Amino acid sequence: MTITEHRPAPLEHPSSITARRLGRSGHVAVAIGAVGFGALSWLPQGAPNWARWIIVTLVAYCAAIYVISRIVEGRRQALDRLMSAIVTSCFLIVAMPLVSLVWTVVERGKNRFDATFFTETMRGVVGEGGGAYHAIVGTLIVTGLATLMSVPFGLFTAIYLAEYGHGAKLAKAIQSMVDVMTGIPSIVAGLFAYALFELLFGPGTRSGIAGAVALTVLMTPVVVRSAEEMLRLVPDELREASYALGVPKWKTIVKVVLPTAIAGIITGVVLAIARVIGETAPLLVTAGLAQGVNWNPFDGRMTTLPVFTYYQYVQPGLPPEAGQDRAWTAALTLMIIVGVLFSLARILSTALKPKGLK
Amino acid sequence: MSDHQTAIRTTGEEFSDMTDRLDTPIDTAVASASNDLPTGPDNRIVVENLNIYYGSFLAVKDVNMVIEPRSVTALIGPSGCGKSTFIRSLNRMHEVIDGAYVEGSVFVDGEDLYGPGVDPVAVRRKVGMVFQRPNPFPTMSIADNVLAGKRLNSKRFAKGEAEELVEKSLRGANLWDEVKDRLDKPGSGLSGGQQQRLCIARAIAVEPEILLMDEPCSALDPISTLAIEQLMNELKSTYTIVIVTHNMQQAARVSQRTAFFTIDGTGQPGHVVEMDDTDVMFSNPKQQSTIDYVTGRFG
Amino acid sequence: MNELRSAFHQQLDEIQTGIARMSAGVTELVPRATDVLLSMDLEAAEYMILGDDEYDRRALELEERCFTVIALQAPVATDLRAVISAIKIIADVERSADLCVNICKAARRIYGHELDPHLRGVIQKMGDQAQVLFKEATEAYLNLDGVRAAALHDMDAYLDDLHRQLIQVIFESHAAGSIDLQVAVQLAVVARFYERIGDHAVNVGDRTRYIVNGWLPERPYPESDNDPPDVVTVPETTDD
Repeated sequence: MTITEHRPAPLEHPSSITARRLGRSGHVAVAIGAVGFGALSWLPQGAPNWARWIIVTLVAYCAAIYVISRIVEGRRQALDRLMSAIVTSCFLIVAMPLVSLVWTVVERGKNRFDATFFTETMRGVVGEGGGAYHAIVGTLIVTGLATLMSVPFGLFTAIYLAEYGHGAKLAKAIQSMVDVMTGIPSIVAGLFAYALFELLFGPGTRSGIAGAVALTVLMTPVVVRSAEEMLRLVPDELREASYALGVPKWKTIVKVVLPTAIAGIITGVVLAIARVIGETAPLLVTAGLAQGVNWNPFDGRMTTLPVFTYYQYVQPGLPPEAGQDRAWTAALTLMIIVGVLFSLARILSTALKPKGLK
Repeated sequence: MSDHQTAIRTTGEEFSDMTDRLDTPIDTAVASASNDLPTGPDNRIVVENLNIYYGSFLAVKDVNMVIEPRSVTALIGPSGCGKSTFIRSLNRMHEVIDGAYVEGSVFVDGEDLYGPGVDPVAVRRKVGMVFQRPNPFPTMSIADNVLAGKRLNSKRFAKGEAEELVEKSLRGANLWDEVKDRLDKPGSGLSGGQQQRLCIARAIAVEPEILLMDEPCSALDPISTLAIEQLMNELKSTYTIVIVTHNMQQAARVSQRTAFFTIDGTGQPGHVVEMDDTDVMFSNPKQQSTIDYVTGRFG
Repeated sequence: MNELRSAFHQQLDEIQTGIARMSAGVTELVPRATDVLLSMDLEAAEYMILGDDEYDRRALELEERCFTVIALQAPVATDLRAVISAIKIIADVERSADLCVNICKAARRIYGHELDPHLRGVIQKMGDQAQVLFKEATEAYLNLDGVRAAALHDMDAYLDDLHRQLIQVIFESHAAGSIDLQVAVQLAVVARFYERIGDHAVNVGDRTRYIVNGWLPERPYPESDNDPPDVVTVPETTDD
């Protein structure tokens, strides 16, 4: 008797494991119908209103897919499809402002996106022309100094918490304080830095380094948090393997644990930079505004991109469009820098990740 | 001489080729990496009245045993009976956990590992360890992994000395032929059994006298397990090996001496019930609990 | 990959070689026993009787080795059959050594009584055939040669014929008066001894076939490999 001879006869009663499905074409049809229905929202003005269109489409789609699926497939699948639709809709609604923002900044910033903008300062410029060269330099210097200060502090704190802390009271206290520091409003950090430098160097002191100190206060807890996470992710068995070879603890940390975690730590630092690079309030108070390039962070005011954007918008000069255009372009530049930093973080994360780590 | 005796002599000659074959010695040469056995201290381990504590909790009590040099000693017993805790106390690795300490002594070549002024880091250079899950350093290549123990202790290598050590250690771990063409690739590309042999190579590159193995084959497939056991058989001519294993048959296959640990109940300390030559432990053990455990009637 | 479990395989080889050595020793014991019987050499007889202790000791040692291998190495498949068979073969070989000693003891008992040429001839033939059987069995076991082992059955059939022949000649000699009753009985027992040595050799051969492919005399292989054996035919055992 061969295998096929053993095959049973086809079922005579309805199967309990198959069901009717709304095919792919049916699904698409419903979606298209919803989009068309959403276009009805144009009626009041007679012109496309994107936000209204999208919202009406999404609501219509959710309702339609539930009803049609209920009829064709059954209650369970209908509920399933409804939840998927709701989740997708929420995502699209949240993405809307982001897309809109990027679109707006690009559209308005492209006007002054030229060589002049990146090579000239505002020295002696009242109306047309001028650029943000000094602001870009300022941002790089201030953020660079802030990184230089916050990374060592943050990394060593993280090493203490992850490797030596182990439930000690001091470790717990530090962790609480770090948590508090992540919530400090940026203006408070700025005022702290200003007050500190006023104490040291007299009232009215404005300098790049003060701005860097303010940013450090904001950056350090972020670095501590992410570095600690990354260090904790390194499996204990690697540390044990190193100890078993007779390697002292500090060397194990430097030569085994840190190299293994370095990808994540660098990513965390880059993300911390991206977070503070756009802070305006503390820099307003500490670094202030200058019209030309200031290469010395220890002496005198230094303009940074966010502060530049603020002043160009608030005090545009004559004609006001020139100033506002410069502001939009500065904002676009800042957005591009942040975007580049995030991409860099992703690339570094993949490139530096040790191949063996699961 | 009678005709019969001549006849017997002739038939005897017919047998000569057969008996020649029987007299040919069996090829006992099993490849050993280092043909020159180190002379020097006999690496005997003497454990006296060892009690191991985690904080106030007594984990292992009253261990007294002698571990013979250049042999394999196996520690068997049910889960949680303190075998791993005990073996880690032989190179002071249990101290990595906060609050762990011991009372008693562990003498290696007459020196107490827990004596005053003893540096745990130095102890671990003398007593190496291989763990249950293979753990090669992921940021280092195969060659760097092997050298890690020496390099991380600030050893500066003369030209060529490093390559020699890598080859010697990998040969000692029966891994050289399989990786000699990719020494600069990361260790993560190897199979589980190969990674474990890499860890063994890394451990023996430090030139310890004693090698501790905490369930080295638990995470490996059967063929890799046998390969590691084969390796242990070769290594025992150079090192003193102590192995913790859940697998009784493995203890039977590889060890010369076996110690049976047990625990009387949860929360109770683990202790040694019996220790003897392996063939006695598995054919005629003295204690009833040993008999129950090895025959599988335990619990 | 390098060889695995080499220590274990070495132990198995040592057991096999040890048994083969013992068996080869018995192969030489048989003609010496025949010679002792026919030449009435009392000194040689004493020597051989004392030498049996060595065989007993060796048998015990090999058996303990088998025991250790089973306890510690958990052999399976061919290895398991090899070790189990080894234990049984040791018993067969040791018993054969005892039988040679028994022949020597019988030689002592018939000391002084001349045997006629016809009798001597048949005894000699039996001795030679028993020796050949044992040699073949030893070679078959040492080489794990199932074909050679299978041939032992026919050789044993010839030995059984010789046995019947010898009994016949004993009757005739006694009837003719050349040997008295006591000698006749001793010789009949000696004939039995030789026949038993042959049977032990056949057992060694059968166990060898068991190691090689799991063949047992009670369960011969069925005709086709695909069909399960539905009827087990027990072959006629040639026994007298």
